[in-house]
Amino acid sequence: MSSSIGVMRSRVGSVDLSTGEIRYEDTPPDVVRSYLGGRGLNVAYLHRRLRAGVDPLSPENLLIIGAGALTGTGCPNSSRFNVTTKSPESNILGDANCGGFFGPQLRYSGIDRLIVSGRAAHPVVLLVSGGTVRIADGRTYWGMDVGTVQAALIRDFGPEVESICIGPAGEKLVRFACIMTGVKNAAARGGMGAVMGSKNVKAIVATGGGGLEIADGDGFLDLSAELTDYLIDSSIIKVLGRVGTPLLYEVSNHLGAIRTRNSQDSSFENTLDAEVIHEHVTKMIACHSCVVHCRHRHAEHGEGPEYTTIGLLGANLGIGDTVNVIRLNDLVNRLGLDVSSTGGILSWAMELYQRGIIDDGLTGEPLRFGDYDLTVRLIKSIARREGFGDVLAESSQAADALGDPERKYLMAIKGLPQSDPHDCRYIKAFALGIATASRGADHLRSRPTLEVFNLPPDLLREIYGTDVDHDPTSYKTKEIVVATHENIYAVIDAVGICKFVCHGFNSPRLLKYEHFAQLLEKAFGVRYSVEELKELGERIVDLERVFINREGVRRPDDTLPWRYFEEPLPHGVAKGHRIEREKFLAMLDRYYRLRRWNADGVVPEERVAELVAPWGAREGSPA
Amino acid sequence: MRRIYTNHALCSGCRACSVACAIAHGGTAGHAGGAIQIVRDPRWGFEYQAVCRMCEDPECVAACMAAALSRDPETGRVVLDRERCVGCWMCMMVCPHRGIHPDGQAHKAILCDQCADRDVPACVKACATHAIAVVEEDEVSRETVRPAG
Repeated sequence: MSSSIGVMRSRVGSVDLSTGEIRYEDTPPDVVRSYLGGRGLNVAYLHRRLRAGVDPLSPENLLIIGAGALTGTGCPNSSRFNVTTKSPESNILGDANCGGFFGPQLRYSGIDRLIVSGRAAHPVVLLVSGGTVRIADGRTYWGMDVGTVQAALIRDFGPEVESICIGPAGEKLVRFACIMTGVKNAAARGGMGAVMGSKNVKAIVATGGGGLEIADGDGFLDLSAELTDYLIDSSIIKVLGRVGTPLLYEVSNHLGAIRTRNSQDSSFENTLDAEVIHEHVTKMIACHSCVVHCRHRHAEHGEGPEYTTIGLLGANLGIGDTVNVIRLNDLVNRLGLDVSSTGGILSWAMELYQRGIIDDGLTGEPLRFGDYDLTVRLIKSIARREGFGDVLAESSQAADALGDPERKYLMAIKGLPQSDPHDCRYIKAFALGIATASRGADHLRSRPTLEVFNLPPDLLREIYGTDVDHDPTSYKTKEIVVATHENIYAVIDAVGICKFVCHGFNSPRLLKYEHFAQLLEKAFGVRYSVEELKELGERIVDLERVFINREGVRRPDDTLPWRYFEEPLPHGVAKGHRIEREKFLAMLDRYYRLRRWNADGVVPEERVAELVAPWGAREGSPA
Repeated sequence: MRRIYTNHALCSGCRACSVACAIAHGGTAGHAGGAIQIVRDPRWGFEYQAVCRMCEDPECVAACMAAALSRDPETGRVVLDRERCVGCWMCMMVCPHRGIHPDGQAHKAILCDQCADRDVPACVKACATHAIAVVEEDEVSRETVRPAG
């Protein structure tokens, strides 16, 4: 296209495990231009190559692993890659963004995107090196937990390899099994690990010493150093680097909005406060080229726990003992389970037992909130699909078996349990964001944290380009807030930078469109205007919507858990707040109009044509 | 005389130093091309910077059979002549500090040149935790200055 002057490498390796065929191609330049990389190019490929209605655990499903456009370049926090598929948990879009060291190494190994289809006849490991992919026997690794298989891969392929792998949960096709890299990094949400397990892939190993050519090396280094200095001076980056995400637990708890005992309560013990967690931390460490270092290495040689773990395996299950929560964190990481869904599904079952909807006949033993030993047993039984664990391993699809067919007590949207430990009844933009997120109840698509800062009107105008209501409990203009955040987060996930150093997630003053444009130009000589990047974000959000529309998502699916509408919050600043249905629906209407989707939440045909146009007219979409 | 000091306690293991070094010296982002490497094992729980300490009596120079390595007494720098390097890796085997690295693609050693042509070495500039420092001194006294780590 006209304003592109350089080239971003976008090398794709497509592996069909049923036939053993491996093909290589470069993504067409117009498609790279339109979707950049990471989450953007992943959904472009998924939409193009996967027909509607495929069983997510069948060989036909695709598992797409793609690095961001800036991933591996060494600019601040450029570690991220996305895993994209059709989710076996929600049956719609499955897309998970992950840090660590694998994304950069995948690119250094000469491949920017892997597209895995089919099913291998026996367990395999994929080896990526020197721009090629090889299928190797993986039978000796099958059955190993995450730490054990990672150690075995280092033993067999050398100390410099980076890998992604599944644990026992992925092998057993648990619908919320994740893909792990390193001690605790996970492409967690939506059952990525089950899709990888269904294809008989235990691990993907990237190795080799290549790199990415940088167009203006000195200019890129200067810009990266300048942005690093700017970022590490920020107070939010300093505090995240000191104690990590657990600091958010106290914020939510103070508001009276920490999800507690399956959201029946909203306030919990201070034994999970950041400073208490920090007593167990030995060092704060980083992902690739990260300036924040928000990861905790704790005294038992694990990493974490993050805010999500503290919330969903702590307060949400009524477990307040600090060490026990750290141990649960390590357990789900070793087994390869998504911490959010694990917590959400367990608390759902516990409330159903509490209400007498299920009993010992199904569960085999009493389910009580706050019971650590029970929780350990249940988590292990889920990962092995044993007994009652086999029922819970079905995630939201266990609704009939659990006697809650309407999922009244399940804190989930579109079949995906809510990830954020923050109760969404207080901040209305949070509620709209999780209701409309393309992969189900998910805060990382739009999380407008700025809502709690009570920012001055002129700064809000600068951020949103128009006047928005500063009151987090107001429904007015929140569609603008959500859409603005969704658009930039989509670009952040496409360039492969961590949201922690980007605009909007924790601060209005971090990296934004103009910085991404500068970095892309110095790195690859490609030029984007701020406006073009904004449009690119909208394009990704729209194409994800097209994908889930094709799988049947309509307006009634963009809703919230029953409890958010019907039960007011009981504690703290947020006391008395709930979501008023009529106001929510009016906000949803305004959101659709802003997005130019129709009243049923469907992307119009002419927009779909625009979105697929970069592929050219040569081939039609498979759907 | 320029010295580069590292502090492993401050190292977050992010490898920005390696990538910056590789870009500065070869225009290619990729940590394997860096003369400074992060040795890390998240399971055992350590990470540290491995870079040439510019020894006064370097083992690598003594071990180099191709005479590719030498020490410049004026600058105090151990210097690698990449043209002469045959990739036998003897230097790596004898270095007690893991300070010299293999370039697997070119099959030659990679050695820190202290970014002599730059005001600030690329690794120092890229380090967000200030775990790498450059010190310019006319004469470094071993009695008073000890490299960290």
